Amino acid sequence: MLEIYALAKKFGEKVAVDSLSLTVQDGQICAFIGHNGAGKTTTLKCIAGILDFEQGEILVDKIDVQKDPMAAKKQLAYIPDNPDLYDHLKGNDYLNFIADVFSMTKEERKAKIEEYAKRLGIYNDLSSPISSYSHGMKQKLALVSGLIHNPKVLLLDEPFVGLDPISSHEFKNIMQELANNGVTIFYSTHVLDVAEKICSHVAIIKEGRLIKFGTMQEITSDDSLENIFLELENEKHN
Amino acid sequence: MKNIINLTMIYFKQSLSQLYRSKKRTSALANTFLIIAIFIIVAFAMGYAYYGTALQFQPIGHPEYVLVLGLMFAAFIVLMMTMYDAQNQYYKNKDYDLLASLPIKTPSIITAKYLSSYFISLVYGFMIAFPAFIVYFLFCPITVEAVIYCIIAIFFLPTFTQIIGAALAFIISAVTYKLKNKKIVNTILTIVLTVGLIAFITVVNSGLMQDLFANGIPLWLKIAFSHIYFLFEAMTTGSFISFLIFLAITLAFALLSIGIITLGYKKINSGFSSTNSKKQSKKTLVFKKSSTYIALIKKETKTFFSSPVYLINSIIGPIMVIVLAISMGIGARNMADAIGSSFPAEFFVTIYVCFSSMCLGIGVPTSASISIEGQKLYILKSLPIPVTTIFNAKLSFNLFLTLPFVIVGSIIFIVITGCSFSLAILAILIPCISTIAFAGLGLLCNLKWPKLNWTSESQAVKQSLSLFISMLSAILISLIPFLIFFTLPNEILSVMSLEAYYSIYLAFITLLCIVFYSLLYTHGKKLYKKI
Repeated sequence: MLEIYALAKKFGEKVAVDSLSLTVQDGQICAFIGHNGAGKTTTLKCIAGILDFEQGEILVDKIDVQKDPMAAKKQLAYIPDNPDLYDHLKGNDYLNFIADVFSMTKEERKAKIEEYAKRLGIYNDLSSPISSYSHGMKQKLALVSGLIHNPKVLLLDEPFVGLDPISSHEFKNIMQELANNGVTIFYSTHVLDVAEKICSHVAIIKEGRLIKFGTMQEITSDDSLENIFLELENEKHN
Repeated sequence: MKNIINLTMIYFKQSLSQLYRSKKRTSALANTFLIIAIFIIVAFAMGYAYYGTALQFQPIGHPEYVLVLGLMFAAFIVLMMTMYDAQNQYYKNKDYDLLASLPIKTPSIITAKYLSSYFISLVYGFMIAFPAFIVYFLFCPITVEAVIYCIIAIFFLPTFTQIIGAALAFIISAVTYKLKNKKIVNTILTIVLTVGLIAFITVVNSGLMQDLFANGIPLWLKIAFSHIYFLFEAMTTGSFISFLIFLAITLAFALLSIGIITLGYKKINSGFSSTNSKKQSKKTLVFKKSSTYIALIKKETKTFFSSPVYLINSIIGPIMVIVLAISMGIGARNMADAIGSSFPAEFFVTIYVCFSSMCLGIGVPTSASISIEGQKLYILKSLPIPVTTIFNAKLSFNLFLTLPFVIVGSIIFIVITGCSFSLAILAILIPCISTIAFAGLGLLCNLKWPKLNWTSESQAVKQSLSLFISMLSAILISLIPFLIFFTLPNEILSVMSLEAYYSIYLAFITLLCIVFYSLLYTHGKKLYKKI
């Protein structure tokens, strides 16, 4: 479960996130949408413990991110929008590195790496250096690295960017399976039709403030998510 | 021209951005003040050493030779610190694709890159060469011509190190860019050529002092370092023709550097950015469990071997310790044989202890170990790894790399010189504690001044504030016993044994070590979180 209470983050004088509160329960997939620079990545980075924040509280599986960051990080996986990975490592070396950090056994890591790498179509490339990977392959490897250690909360920043249609479809299936098994998924996206199909919940952020949060049904009712989002965005300009 | 100015300004701003990373004016001022203070102290220490050398030349009536020694030393040091940067600067820069897609002529791009790397050489060169000019003026008549020549020459001297760097970069890159295993071959070739060149210059320089005493300026210097010879001529005789020749030579160096790099710039860069078509590997994947600490050490090791500039920058110092140990040891033996007395321990142990520590401070691996993570730092920060474990892994890797060289170097020195047991222990302990202290200092500096938004590895490794400050601080700490030894009155030296003198210094650097590590594990953790 992911709980955020009155989160506020500033960069100098600029307010990036302002009084943001939301809760995503176990087994829910929540899309986090907003215009460029709305504060999506900043929020995700605060949850992942990459950025410190001035106000508020974030609980990952009931563990306070600021009070016990190590324990919180053990429960989550964070995949950024443009994964910069250790180019000098081979794909498998990188996955082993992540598995070592999460103290996974040899058998566990073998099974998980094989499962997810095969499903995302990158298994045969794992013995090649990451420097030879395309953007999409790096994205797949980053996703595999986030899945192998059984995180309870999955934080994804634009996870579908760079994925080919087959991998994109497979990853949607993986997300659904994980949610069915009780994993909390919170992900930012601009692909609204996909979000509408796979997400149980949606959070809309505008200039650092959460302006809508609820189940997909509540938010969209009879309209499409795209229309709702455009309407809310236009309110800003008018 | 507009493109050159704009690009140069971008590179300058990139270099200075670290200094003014914080929005607080006080922080920027403090950084500026710190750099200026260290710069002045190092320049002063260099001036002090040159002054001692000039005094030695005075009895033979040629104190002006200190200028030749100073300029040669400056060329040597700047060359050592900058020559292997050129490859990353010109050929492996991340901004190649962007610049290649813009309507900017290649020579304009090269010129802007040249100017930014020239600026670094100028700063280092100014710090080491300028004190030589000051000492020269203390011993020789000050003429209007000489002062003007000196001021102008300072700006032209770095072109020598630039041409060597450019030529080296071109040769290595042109040979390797088409190869299948270009990265490995490139790294090996860079190490071999760099170390070879340094060894060659060390051998050439080591006999210079004797040559100057015996026969004046040697012929090899007049030919190979003609720019220094003509500048020396201009300074001492006031000859305008000699100065014009100096300007012509150094300008030719600059133009030639740009010309060499422009040649094949596109081909080589495209070659480096393209990956060889790989057959899908059928290797069995290995799944082996290890602790987080070992996993981090493995990662550090792979990062180290994947970056030629990081590797060379880190390995040059330790290699120099071995070279120094051999040359100092042989020098001590020869002197002992020549004067028929016992081993002149005081002199050679002092030089070995100071200069081996100084070599270790030139490229402390930890001073770039955070910066080299670049935009990938989020991986470590988002994983459940305690900050202490990350620090320990970075420090351990540094020490695994440097300590063996230090211990072997010290043993070589001890065996060749056959110095007393107590001095031998100190000759091992002091460089060892120094390298441990410098590792802590380097990491602390890198946490304070990280450079994560780099476009080439050399910006993270060589052109960073962190390296500059940790290197100069390490040099200063290393020079302390040397400067005090030659400043202390004979009455004190005759009362205090050399063992006692070095034991005090050992206690001092141990204390520094404790201070650095305490700061690292308290303040350093906070700095890490802020990055």
